[in-house]
Amino acid sequence: MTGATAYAGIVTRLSALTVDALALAAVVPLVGTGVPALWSAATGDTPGWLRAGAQLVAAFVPPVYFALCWWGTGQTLGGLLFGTAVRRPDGARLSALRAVARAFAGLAAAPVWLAGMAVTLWDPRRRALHDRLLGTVVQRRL
Amino acid sequence: MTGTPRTTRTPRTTRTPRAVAAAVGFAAQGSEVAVELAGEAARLAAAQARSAADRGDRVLDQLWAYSAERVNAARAQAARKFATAVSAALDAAAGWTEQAVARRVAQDMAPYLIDTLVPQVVDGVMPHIRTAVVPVIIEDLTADERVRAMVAQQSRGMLAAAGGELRRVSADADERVESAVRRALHRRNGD
Repeated sequence: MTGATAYAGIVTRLSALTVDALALAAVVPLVGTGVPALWSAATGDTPGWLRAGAQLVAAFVPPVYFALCWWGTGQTLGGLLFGTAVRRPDGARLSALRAVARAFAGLAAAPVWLAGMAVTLWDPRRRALHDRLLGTVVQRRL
Repeated sequence: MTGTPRTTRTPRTTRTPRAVAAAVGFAAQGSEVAVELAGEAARLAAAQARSAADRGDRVLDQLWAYSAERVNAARAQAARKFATAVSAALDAAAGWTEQAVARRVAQDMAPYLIDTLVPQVVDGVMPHIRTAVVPVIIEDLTADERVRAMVAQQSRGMLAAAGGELRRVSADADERVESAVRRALHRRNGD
C-alpha cells in the first residue's frame, strides 16, 4: 500500500470474484436456456437458431458484465459487496477499451488470471499479474 | 405795658384739626398698610395651608400605599403558609392511605383479579382485538410513511453494518495471508 490509498488483497479480491462467479452461474444458464425454454413452452418446439443465439448471448454475458462494470463504476457485484473498485494507478476510471481487454483477458485465460493473483502477495500496491499488464489497480474502500 | 408786642397766637381751634387730620391721615395710611399686610399675610397663610394640605395628601397616599403593600405581602405569605400546610397534610394523608388502605385493598384483590377477573376480560376481549383491532393497527403501521422510512432506514443500517463487517474481516484476512507469506519467504531465505 502506498500513501492514503488502500488496495485490496488476495482474499478480498478472490472473495469478490467468487460472488461474481456465483451471480454469473445463476444468470448465464438462465439466459442460455431460459429463452429457448420459454419459446418451447409457447410453441412446442425450439428453433435451432434461437438455441444457438441464446447460447451465444449467454457466452458473452460474463465479459460484457465485467467490462460494463469496470468501465462504468469500476465495481462489479462482488466489488460492491467487498468495497473494491478497479481503477487506473492514478485513481481514474478505466477506459472502455481497457475494461473490455481486462474482461476478455481474464475470462480467456482464467487459470493464468488466478495464478497471477499470487503476485498481489508481494506487490507494493497489491497488483496482480493482469493488473501489471493492463495498468490497473484494485482499490479498497473500507 | 402798651408797648409790649403782641404775639400772634394761632387759635387752638385751628391747630387741633391739623393734628387730627394728620392723625387721621396716618391712621388711614396705617389702616391701608395694615389691610395690605393683612391681605398679604392671609395669602401667605392660604398658600401655606394649601401646601400643608398637599403634603398631607401625599403623606396619606404614601401611607395608604405602604399599608396596602404590607397587607398584600402578609396575605401572600399567609397563602403560602396555608398552601404548604395543606400540601403537607395531603401528602401525609396520601401516604397513610397508601400504607393503610390501598396496599391492603390491592393485596386482597390481587388473587381475584389475577385468577378470575382478568382472564375473563381477556377471553372476552381477545377475539374482538384479533379480528377488529390488530388488523387496523397493522394497516395503520404499514401505511404510515414514518414507519416505512424507519424500517427502511434500519434495514439499510443493518446492510451497511454487515457490509462494513465483511470488508473489515476480508481486509484483516488480506493482512494475515500476506504476513504469513512474508514470514514463509523470510524463513526460506534464512535457510
